[in-house]
Amino acid sequence: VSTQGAQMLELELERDGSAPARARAAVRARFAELEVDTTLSFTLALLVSELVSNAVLHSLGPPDAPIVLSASATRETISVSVTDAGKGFSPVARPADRAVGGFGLELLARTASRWGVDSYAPTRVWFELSRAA
Amino acid sequence: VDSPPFQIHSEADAGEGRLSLSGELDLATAPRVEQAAEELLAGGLHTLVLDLSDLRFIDSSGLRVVVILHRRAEDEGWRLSIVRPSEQVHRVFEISGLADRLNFIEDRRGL
Repeated sequence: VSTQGAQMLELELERDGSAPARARAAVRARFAELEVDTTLSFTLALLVSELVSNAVLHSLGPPDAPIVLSASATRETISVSVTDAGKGFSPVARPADRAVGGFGLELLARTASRWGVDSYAPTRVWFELSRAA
Repeated sequence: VDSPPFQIHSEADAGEGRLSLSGELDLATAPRVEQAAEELLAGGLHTLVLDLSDLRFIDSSGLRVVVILHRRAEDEGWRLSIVRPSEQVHRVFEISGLADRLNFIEDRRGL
């Protein structure tokens, strides 16, 4: 995955329930200067929240290992990745007991221009949003 | 750019309960909604109005709470009505395919 373009943000987040809100606040503050439209800005915050929440809830890494949020931008694209200390995963089978809570990857798949998950350690989930959309 | 704190206003009158949410509904705040709903439902309700009109953000953790309440209403035979949120928040329900399954209402008390 290419992450060329200006580095906007690289942030270590303590792995707790407030991490998603801290991640959204950091991204909103940092991306305000790009003057992206309201819908794109909301989608960016939404997907950042999903990826960080997923890392908080499901990382198999040690609880004290931080979550790393990284974001960059070109004229055309905003790129974000969230890395935790887990061993990677394949986003295919969704256990039945998570059916009620399984909206996160769906939101990612339906709103991101491109996205992916590394199936090897450390767990890294990334997405791109088109700024033209 | 700090968001206003998440708040829940909870009330019940003659079997109709109302939970009004403001701020951002996510991993940290969703359990508070579950708790508040639990407390209202313990009193016995025929209707629960979930007012999302002042909600500024929702993600899948928030959707999950709404879906759990929706399923519980169907199972237990009470009515869940959801006061329609902002366009951006409603879009998250639409993208998830939930918008058509939930009972969104337009009216806002006092209008």
